[in-house]
Amino acid sequence: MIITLITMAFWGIALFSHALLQPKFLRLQGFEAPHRLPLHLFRLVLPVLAAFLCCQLDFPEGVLVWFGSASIAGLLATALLTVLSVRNMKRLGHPDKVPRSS
Amino acid sequence: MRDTLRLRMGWLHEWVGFIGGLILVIVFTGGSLAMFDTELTHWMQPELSRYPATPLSDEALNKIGSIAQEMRKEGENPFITLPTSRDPMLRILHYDGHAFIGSVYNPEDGFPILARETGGGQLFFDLHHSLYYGPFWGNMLTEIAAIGLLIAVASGVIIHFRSILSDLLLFRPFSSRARAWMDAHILMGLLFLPFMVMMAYTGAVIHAPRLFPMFSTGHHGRPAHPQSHGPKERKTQNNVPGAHKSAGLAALAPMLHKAETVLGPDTIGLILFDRGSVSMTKADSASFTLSRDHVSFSEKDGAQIAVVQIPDNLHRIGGVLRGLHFVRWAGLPMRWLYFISGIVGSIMMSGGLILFLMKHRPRKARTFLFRLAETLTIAVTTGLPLACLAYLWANRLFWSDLPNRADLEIRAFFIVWALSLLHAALRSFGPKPRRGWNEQCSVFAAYALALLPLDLMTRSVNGFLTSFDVYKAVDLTAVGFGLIALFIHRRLVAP
Repeated sequence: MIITLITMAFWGIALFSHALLQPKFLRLQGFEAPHRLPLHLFRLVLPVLAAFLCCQLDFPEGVLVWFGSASIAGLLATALLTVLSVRNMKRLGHPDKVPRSS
Repeated sequence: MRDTLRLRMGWLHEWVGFIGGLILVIVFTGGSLAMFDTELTHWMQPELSRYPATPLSDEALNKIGSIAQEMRKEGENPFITLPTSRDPMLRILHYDGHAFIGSVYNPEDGFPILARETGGGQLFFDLHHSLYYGPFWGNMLTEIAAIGLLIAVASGVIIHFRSILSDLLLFRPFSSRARAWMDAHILMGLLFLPFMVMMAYTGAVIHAPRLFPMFSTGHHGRPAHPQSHGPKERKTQNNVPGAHKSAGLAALAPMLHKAETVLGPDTIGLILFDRGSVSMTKADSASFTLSRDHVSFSEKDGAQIAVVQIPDNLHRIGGVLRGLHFVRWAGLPMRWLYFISGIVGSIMMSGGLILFLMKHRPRKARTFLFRLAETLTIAVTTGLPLACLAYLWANRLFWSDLPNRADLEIRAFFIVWALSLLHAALRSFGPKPRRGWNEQCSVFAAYALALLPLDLMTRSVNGFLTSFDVYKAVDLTAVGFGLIALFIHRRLVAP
């Protein structure tokens, strides 16, 4: 259970970092361009650490936890990003103008 | 060239997704609930809440062995399930064509427990794998839908290939409705892509013999076996010379202990009876590979006849695929992971159906086919959850000693689903189709939020605030879904 939660946290941070590396998300969130190196590191290293943790579990369970926690962490990261972008939109007082595919 | 491919894939995704989606929403919803089928059965037998988990005694096992033997003499085809952490009761069950139903016994002394007759969570399992229309056509439809899901996933990935990574977590609820739904559909589809591909693939492969019966070894891919469980087969079996004619059954407890020395301690979950033999069968929860290994004994003197284990690698691969799909080996966190993934899959597909309607509404809103499509979409997205809830309500509201109450509960499920379809048709073919969604959402929210009080009123409750059990888990999950439905209802009534 603890491994699952830590794996989920690692995935959540990695996916959040991945989103902050996308210019479209920065525009939606209204963030200044952050330092890219730590975000790149989080994005690349944390999923590997999560995989290492999952290796402590039995073989099929570890694989399923790694994938499953990525999915749920993705939902949680999206929820956080959405709250931030909705706040930003309210602050700016205009709807989203960013096209889906750049 | 690339845009032409995307355009064609868009058409494929749209139509395969819509037609398959109508079935897949049922399959995913049913499968998610079937993840907790044992727990739901426990919830639907509130009489069991008075009995704490106790270890199985040899005396109890021998006693219900005799009861099962008596039932066999009367022409029934029972089997015994041993207590597990998920279901700490002894049960004698038989297959009624859709579910395994039967009586419950105390594992300590073997005395019967007067629990209400119910199909329990197995309805959802049946709905998941055969749409309650097995064993052939329903299974065939779900098989085809699983292949449709693989096609829809592949075409969806091709359509969004260019922006998959950059838009991975993109969700814009403040945008137009169509874009918000599209974001949600893509988001859930991408995040749960591994789960959906795995479930669709394993589901399709497990039952592949149904699609290609010419390669199977028997009826619907199962070897022809004299101990079929259907009611018709049962009658036939009684006419087989020598069947169930033995005078008595040797004590089961020594057989169980012997089988545990062969297959491992606490691994036996099922006791099956065949002509002249008793099989101590490995529980599905005992290992990842779902193998049904068993040790056979003579029913006359309890002598060991055979040890049957997975014969070869091909069967072992089949066991691995079953283990991945049915996940009966897993503990509670993994089951919740599967449950959440299944529900998200169901919501993702419902979102796809809604997007299909949004796309075609401007030009085809008044056509018969569009209104039919909207009717069916409402019936599967909001009508099915409503029917599931009605099933739980019916279980608690029907008298516990009502004859054929298991059938009546299932009828209540289908009647409510049919009524929701009728209601959806009335609204979709009327001037304000949006009301159909809204009204069903609000009814669902009301009944889901009231499930907790219903549970408290219809069973004896001890230590409500000091313990967390399966009853509270079901109640609170229903309350959670009720709150989500209430939120959707509030969004739908907003201008």
